[in-house]
Amino acid sequence: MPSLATHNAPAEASATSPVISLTGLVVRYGHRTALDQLTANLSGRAIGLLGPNGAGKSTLISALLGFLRPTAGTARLLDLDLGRDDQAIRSRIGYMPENDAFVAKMNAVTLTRMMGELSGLPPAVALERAHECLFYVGLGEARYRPLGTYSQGMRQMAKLAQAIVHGPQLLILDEPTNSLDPPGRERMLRLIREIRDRGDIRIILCSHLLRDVEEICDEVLILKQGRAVHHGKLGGEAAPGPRLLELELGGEPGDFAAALQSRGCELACGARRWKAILPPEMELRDVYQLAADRSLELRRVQFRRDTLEDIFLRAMEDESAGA
Amino acid sequence: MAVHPQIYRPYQGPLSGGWRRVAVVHHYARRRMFDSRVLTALFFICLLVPFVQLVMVYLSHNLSFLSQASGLKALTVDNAFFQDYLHYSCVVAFIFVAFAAPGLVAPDLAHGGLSIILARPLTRWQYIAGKFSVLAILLSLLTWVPAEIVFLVQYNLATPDWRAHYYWIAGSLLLASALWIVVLSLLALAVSAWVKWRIVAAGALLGIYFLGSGFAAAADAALQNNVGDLFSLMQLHLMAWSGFFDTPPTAPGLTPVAWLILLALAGGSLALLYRRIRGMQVVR
Repeated sequence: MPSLATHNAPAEASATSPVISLTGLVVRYGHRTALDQLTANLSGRAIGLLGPNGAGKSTLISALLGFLRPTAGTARLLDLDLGRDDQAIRSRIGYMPENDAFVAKMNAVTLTRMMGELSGLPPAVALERAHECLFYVGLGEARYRPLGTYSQGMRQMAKLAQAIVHGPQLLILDEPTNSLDPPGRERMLRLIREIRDRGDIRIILCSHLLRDVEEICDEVLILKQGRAVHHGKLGGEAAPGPRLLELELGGEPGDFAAALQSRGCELACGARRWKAILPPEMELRDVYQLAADRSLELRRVQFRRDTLEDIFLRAMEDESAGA
Repeated sequence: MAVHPQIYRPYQGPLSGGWRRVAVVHHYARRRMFDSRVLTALFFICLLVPFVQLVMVYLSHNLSFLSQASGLKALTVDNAFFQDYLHYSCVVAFIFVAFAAPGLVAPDLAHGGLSIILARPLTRWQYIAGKFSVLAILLSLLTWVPAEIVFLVQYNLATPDWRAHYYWIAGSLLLASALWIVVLSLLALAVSAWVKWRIVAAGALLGIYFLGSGFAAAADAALQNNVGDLFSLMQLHLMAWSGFFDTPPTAPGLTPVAWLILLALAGGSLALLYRRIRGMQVVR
């Protein structure tokens, strides 16, 4: 009978408390600074980690997993201190690395079971959950085959299975759709969405594919050269950036354009379809009021949300301009 | 075939303590080792050495009638006998380790397995302890455990005079074996961690032993002294063991140097091993 020292309590971080708090986090390799004064509070259900190659995404993940010691600053995960509570943090994390991660002659059941036991599960429970997780990711029929004989897509699924076998509170997925064909990618994204929607697992998704992040994540942290260049929520009212309004007019505009510009709007006017960027102090009802004052019919008024690509490109440009 | 539902369910049950995970590393490493029938057979062949020694001890106490039949000379069982016995056991154990140890760490490194293993609540030291314990336990079963059994048999068959004179050999067997086990296990694990291919790693270990011994013999012959023994892993141990077994040192005056080299070898191997066992590879 194993010694049963700790208990895996239900998700300790509530829906709004930060999953990750970074304060002035610095990681250096020799003289090279990989993470530079990184400060952010990430509290989304699914957090996207974006950035060009060499931006520091993998370094940040390695630091969060305790593989790298921060040179300065602090980090907290799930209300636990990195450095002081490394073991407790790791028992609550599931990690799916970007690159291959398996032992060639082991079969998927043995590897997944071993990972469960290493996370503290009793052997019988680990075995049962290994079977369940492998069925869940679609490897039920192939679970006794050596991992060395798996295709790349199957290996990705096996990595996901070992990452969730112990029921983590935080799942770190590093490029989960790498090397997957379109059906495999869809399947992977569906599984991640299902796990996210359960609500008891927070997700950090590190990917180069903006579409994947946009589909899964509700919060995004964009890194460039080891620094955070953008951090914010995705979608809805919380969409970052200027508010871009698309208008479709039902009649002659008259001095409507001048009226909007006098309130600080930037306009791009077509014959009937206009685009306006509203200043922060201007509300949508002000636009309606200006139109009503001129008896102008507004057939369609729609805020255009920034896509993640817009946000990403703007973050890269802003940083270039700043530099 | 068992069919499991395709659902994910969280786990909220109890978790085991930290050192239980060392046992998990040990368990899976040992299981993987004995998946090989060749290694399993080799392990049991290695156990023939203590069996032969046991027979010799038995015969030494029953030679009076055998010598009349075959003319055998009496066999002396003393401290030198047990040192020689341990020497043979350790050589055989080395051959077992040379083929078994390369499969301990290298497979975890080959395809990035360490990144998911060390992402668990397991420290690098605990991982090393788990792997080390596999070799330490198996080498114990090949060296001091059977040696102590042989000693106990001898102790029971011997005269009270012998018992009073040689009772301390039990401790010597344990200490000498422990030294060999620690040095050899760390060396073998370091080679397994740094040499990717199993056959090359086995060759490297055998090379360290046999080429070192050959070089030592050649150096001794050329220099007309025993300084060359410092290049032989076994001779280094025999020098250190002379203190444990109260036997004449093979190279008088070099025993402290031998100890220093053995400690440096163990420490260096551990440092190399620790450097290699990482969750991520740092590209500078």
